[in-house]
This record gives sequence, C-alpha cells and structure tokens, in this order.
Amino acid sequence: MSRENRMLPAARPAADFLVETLADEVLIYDQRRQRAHCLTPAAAFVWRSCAEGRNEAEVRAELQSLSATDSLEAVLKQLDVAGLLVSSVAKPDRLPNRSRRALLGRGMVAGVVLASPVVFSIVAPSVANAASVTCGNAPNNCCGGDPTTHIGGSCNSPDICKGDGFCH
Amino acid sequence: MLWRRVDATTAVAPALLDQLRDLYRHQVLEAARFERGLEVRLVALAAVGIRPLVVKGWSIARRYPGKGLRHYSDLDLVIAPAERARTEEVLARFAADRLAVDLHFEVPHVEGRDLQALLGRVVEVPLGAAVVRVLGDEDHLWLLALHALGHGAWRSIWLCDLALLVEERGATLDWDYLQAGASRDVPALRAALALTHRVLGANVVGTPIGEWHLPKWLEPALVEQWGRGYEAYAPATKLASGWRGLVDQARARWPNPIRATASLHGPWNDLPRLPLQAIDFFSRLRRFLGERDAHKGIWAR
Repeated sequence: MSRENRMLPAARPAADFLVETLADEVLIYDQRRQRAHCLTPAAAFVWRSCAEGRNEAEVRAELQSLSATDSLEAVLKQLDVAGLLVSSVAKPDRLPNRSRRALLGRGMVAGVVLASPVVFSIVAPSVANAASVTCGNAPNNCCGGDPTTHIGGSCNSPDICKGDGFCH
Repeated sequence: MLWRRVDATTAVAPALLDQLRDLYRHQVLEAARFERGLEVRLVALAAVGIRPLVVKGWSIARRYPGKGLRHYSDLDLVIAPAERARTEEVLARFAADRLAVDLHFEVPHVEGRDLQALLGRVVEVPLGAAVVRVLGDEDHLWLLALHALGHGAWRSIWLCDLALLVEERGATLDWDYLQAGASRDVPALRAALALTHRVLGANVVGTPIGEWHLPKWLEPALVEQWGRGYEAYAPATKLASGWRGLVDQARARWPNPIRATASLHGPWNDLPRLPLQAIDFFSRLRRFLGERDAHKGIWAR
C-alpha cells in the first residue's frame, strides 16, 4: 500500500474519553489516564479522522484547508504523545527518505516537531481558584486526622469529614 | 464566568488570562466528569430500586447557560436512611472515578417545610440514560439560600445561584410557598435574596425582593468575607501554643457575622452581630475542647 493510501493510526476507543466542544477548541478528558487535553480544530479533525478510520491522503487534503501551518505528521505525533492514539505514529527514521530542507519545509526534522502545538495538556487550576472547601493545599480535604482513615479530620461547619477524606 | 466576561477591552495580565482560560477548560471537563458520574450512578441505583433526590451541585449547575460555569465538587444525593447500605454498595462500584458523593438521609436545610408538598414538587430531568429527580425551584431556592448563609456565604457562586433562579423564574415563582418554612428562617431567606439584588444587581422586577429589608451589616460583612477568601474560614485542627498564639488563632477563626447568625438562627435585623459571633465562637471552642481527645476539629460540626 502506498503511504498516501494507508490508513491513519487508530484512535483509542471513544469510551475512554469525555469530549466537550468549545467555540474554537475541543476538550478531552482521558478517563483511563485521568489527563485532560485541549485540541485545536486541526488536531480535533485529525483525531476524529483517526477514530473514523480514514486514509491519510484525504485527511491530508482536508487538513490543508483547515490549517495551512499544521502538517499531518506533526499533528499525529502530538496526538500520539498525548496518548490519544492506539497505534504509534511512524517514527522519523521510518519517514520517506527526504532532504533535510524538505523535512524542514514540512515542519519536521530529526523527530523534533517544529510546528506550533496543536494539543495542549490542561493544567489543573490552583486550589484557591477551584475548590469549594479547602484545607492547606488539598481541595476539599478534611484537615488533619488519620491520613488513611481520615478519622479526626475537621471541616467547616456544617460539613463533616467523610471516610473518603473529603469535607461534605 | 470570569473568563467568559473577559473581552478585548478588559485590562488583564496575559498570565492571568491564561490561568482563567485553563480554569474554564478544566471546569468544563470537571462538569462533564460529574455529569457522567451522576448518570452512571443513578442508572445503577435505579436498577436496585433507589431513586435519590439530587440537590445543590449538578442540580443548580444545569441551570447555568454553559457547562463549567458553575463549579461544584461533589454529588449531593438524598436517600432514605433505610437505603443507605444498598446505596453505598452500589456507589462503591464507581470508586475508580474518584468523584466525591455526599449522601444525605434527609433533605438538608428544609426544616419547617411541608415534606409532602416538597416531594409533590419534585421534577424529573433526563440525563443520558438516567432520570434525575431534583427539587422544585422554590424548595431548592430555600435550601440554597440557607446553605449559603450557613457557610458564611464565603463563595460568591452561591449568591449567583440564587440570583440565577430569581432572574430566571422571577414573578413565576410561588412566592408564598417559597416562604413557607420555619418562621425563624424566613428572614434569612429574605436577606439572602435581597443580597442578590444589592450586591449582584439581580433583576427582581415582579418579585417582592425589593421590599425586603437588608440588615445594614450584611453587605459589608459579605464583601469583607469575599475579600478575605477561604483562609479566614479554614478549620483549625489544634490549639496554638502560648497566649499570643491563642489570641492570633481566635482572631483568625472569629466567625463572620453571616455564619454566626445563620448557625444560631439569630435575627436578621440591624442589631450588632458581636454577641452572636461571640456565642458562636465559644460554642465551637467548647465543642473542640470537649472533643479534642476524640480527634475532632475545632469547627467539626
């Protein structure tokens, strides 16, 4: 099979993820790895194409209309690094034999992705921003008490410390 | 909500802007996690014949115009005491997703309300494969108001919840039924709703809120609490050593007037709050000292 006709690497099963679409990006929560990612429209398009089992040629063409700067290889690489694909993306040494200049022109050289990021990991917010009840550095935790059983942990009235170590 | 309100004309440092954007993204996904977690739990509970009431958290967040705008950190489920063992057994299956579930064995903060009327106004809301039973707006508004005051209203989002329901329902709320609870708590409800108008500018046209008295100490106390953030509200786990330490600790833990009034079911009038704050402080201190050997915290109850 020629490279252009081959299928994209498969995306991990949809059941592994929670997906939310915002105006200009797609948010993904990986339920298995408990990690969150933010995809640009180009990355989201490629990821969905992987899930649909499409071939490289047609996706490459459509991607160009979505983003003039993101190469398919660069996007796949970042999706792979983020753990969103099942099968590993072709390593640089398995890429077709091209000149350094040609690879630079496509945004890649020696395995280093030069394109701008299309997959961002979402940083958990600071406790002060997100927690409804906080103690020290842990959101919603009971303060003090046994670290395993949480017995003795204190909370703000009328909350009480439950066995899960949280104030409710 | 801040992120949604920021626009090109808002002077915000780029680093803060990035933080706000990430926080919003995070909350959108958190909301999705909780929603999914609620759905699977309710389906599993329904399979064994248990249909909890869902209060606070998801049941108010769903009313906001976008996912992630109203952060919450647990699922509040109300079940009958007799259902506790089976419920815990079912919920244990979902421990892997690490979502906190708060089980209540009675509807909180609704003392004095007619339970049959409350149950008769329960609304069923579809959520994926599940059906969520939530309180009618009047009962929920009452609960949310008393809950917020009981915590000193230190989270501004709690006031937003009230404002949202008031603005969305306005004149269509059953205002008589809304106020049909324990008479000592009606002034608290009124004060909380009057705050939404005064502080957040909630539109109260067609409601009686504009006529309700707002104690003169309440707004300054609220603003001061918001300015101090959570640290002024954090629990203590042990007594400081030395008199100076004890004085500093007492000053830091001094209850805000809102929480003191709410927890003692005090009057929501213009009189000074100091006596209520002192009573609240010393009653908590007494409990702490009495329970210290049993590893209870100073603000444990």
